[in-house]
Amino acid sequence: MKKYSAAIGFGILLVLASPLALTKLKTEHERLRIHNTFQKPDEVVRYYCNRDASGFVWSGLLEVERKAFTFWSEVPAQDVMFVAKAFSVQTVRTTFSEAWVEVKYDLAGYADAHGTYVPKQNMADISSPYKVTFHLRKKDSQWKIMTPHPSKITPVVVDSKFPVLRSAS
Amino acid sequence: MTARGYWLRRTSALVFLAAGISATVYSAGNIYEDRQRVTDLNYKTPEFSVPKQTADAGDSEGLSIFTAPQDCPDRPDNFFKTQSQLRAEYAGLADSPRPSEAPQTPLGGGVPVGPKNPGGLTGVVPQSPTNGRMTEMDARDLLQAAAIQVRQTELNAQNDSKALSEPYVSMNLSTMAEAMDRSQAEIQNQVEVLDQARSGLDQSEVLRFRNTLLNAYDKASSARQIVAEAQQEESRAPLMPFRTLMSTQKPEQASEPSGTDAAASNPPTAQDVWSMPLASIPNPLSRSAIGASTATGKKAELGELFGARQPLAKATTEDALVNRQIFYSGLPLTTREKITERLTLLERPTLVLANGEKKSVPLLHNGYILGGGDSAVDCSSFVSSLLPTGIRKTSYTTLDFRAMYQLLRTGSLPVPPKYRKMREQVIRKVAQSFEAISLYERDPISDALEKPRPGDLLVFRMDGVSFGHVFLVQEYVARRKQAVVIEAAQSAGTVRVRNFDLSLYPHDQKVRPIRPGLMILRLKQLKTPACNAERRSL
Repeated sequence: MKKYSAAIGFGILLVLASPLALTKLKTEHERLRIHNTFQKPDEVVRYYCNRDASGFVWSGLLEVERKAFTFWSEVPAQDVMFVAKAFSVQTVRTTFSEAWVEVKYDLAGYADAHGTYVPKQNMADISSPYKVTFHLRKKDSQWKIMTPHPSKITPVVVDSKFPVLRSAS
Repeated sequence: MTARGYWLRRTSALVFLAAGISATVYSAGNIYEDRQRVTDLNYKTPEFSVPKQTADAGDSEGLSIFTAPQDCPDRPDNFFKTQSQLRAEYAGLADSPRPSEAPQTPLGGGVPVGPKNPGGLTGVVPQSPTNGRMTEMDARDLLQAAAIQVRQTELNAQNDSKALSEPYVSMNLSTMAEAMDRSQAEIQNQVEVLDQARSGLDQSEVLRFRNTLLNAYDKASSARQIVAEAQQEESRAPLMPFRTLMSTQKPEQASEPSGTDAAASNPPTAQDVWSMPLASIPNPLSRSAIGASTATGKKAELGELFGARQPLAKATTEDALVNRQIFYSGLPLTTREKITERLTLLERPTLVLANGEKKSVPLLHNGYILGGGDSAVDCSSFVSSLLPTGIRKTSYTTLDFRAMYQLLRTGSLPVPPKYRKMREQVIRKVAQSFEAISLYERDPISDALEKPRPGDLLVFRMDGVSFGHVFLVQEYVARRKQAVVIEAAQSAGTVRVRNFDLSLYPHDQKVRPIRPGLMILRLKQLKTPACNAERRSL
């Protein structure tokens, strides 16, 4: 009898748990990809920038992403970040195995995640619009980012995708 | 001999005898007390198992009696304290390793690990060391203590990773599928709680943990998909021989002796991995259904996703934390509760939600939480915990360090901040233990710019900006204007060693000015060779 009750209980639990597990998480972030299936270099850069926009580069790029989308030997690690209103991605030049993709950021300021915010007007040494050129190389039919070097790239988050910062600012 | 002389001699002999007996009893009592103090702290009471050097603050291995003069800065401040005072003081060291378990460093182990909650010890008036610059020995001690904290954090993370991956060893695919579903549901709940949190955790930490959870959710989702595909693969080939299913080796290769080139080029089979001694197994996951060594096709992909081939040494990376989060959330409630007792890097902050409800969320971490915690430090509490016992009675923020620097440079404390009177007294007193060094001014005699030295506190704090950072300098490469620093970093989420450029300009530039906002606090002399020389071992 006990066995039956346990089995029935487990069954009910499974029935209750399965729709819960199938419910998708409601977020606006660029979902993690474990495979680089992009055909064009600008798609790789757009993926990186979208992940960066939601703070995933600042909070720690995963190894699976580093291997799939870059030739970097380490991941960027900085405590501070730029805050942008928006960004645009444009391919500057492409050869058979190399590409240069430029990202223009409409910067709003400079911040850390503690709610500290330095508005654009006070950032005298930063050009406007802020531009970052990504150099990509094709290997095994996959486009991957070579430069900028991870130690020289500052995370850029987008204000609308970074909920805590949005409420702080 | 007169009767008077006889009694006089007899009385004085008795007096001398009594004095001799008292002196012997007194000194024996002292030696016993010293021994008792050391042995009690080290071996008798397990809850206060601190390394031997913490108890006697000496470099020698044996028991020591301190014959140093009263003004010797090396004399430990616990020398004349009672057992109860010592117990209270070392309460924070309860989880420190025993001397035999203390991690060894290249310079020799046995240096005390900082208290678990450095901010917990408050209200004690600090002792200021005597004047003079910090000696090489002091710098070495500081760096040793920091290195041990880094290593301790790594060990804790490794233990947590091992504990959480063990239930997944020899887990079959259908159970794995259930675990991944459970993991996603649990993580989703946690993200929703974090989204509603209004207080209880710093905003930046909510953001960081939320991203870790989102990564974990996405990774669990990918894993679930791979498991489903692997299940399909298995159902298509139900009659495959067991050996082939469990191994990447072809049946004809299976009997080849190990040690040959062929064996070296092929990964070990599941049976081989099981028979290996535990130390040579890089990751418990390598023995599981998702391990690369037991995998074919999709299973190999799953093993790759969870880094089954990665050694556990990388346990303080974001990847390892994400994996731990997935495994933790994927466990059934009862198993999770059991495993929770084995985890070290786990915080349970109570969050106040938007509707006023209070909820406790289990957050796995890599050793860093802004504001510190029971099992984590932030940059300033990490550095505070490394300071000499006389001045680490409270935790200092980067704002405090900046205030000390300005006090030493200008003679007055900056405003803001407005300190409470007692706190101001502590800041003023502790400041006297440091020397404030400017990296932007030239030495009037040598005309050279001052450089950081090993053991210096390198503080970064800009005027009018509410954030800052503090590092401990391990080494300085003047040619590259680069310091090797030990820090507790938020972006890395852990305690680590890294290179820090003092200039924002690239290395190929001829002129590379020092970045603004940097200050150096150099500890004054804590020990003198004379103090060590006067210490004799039993």
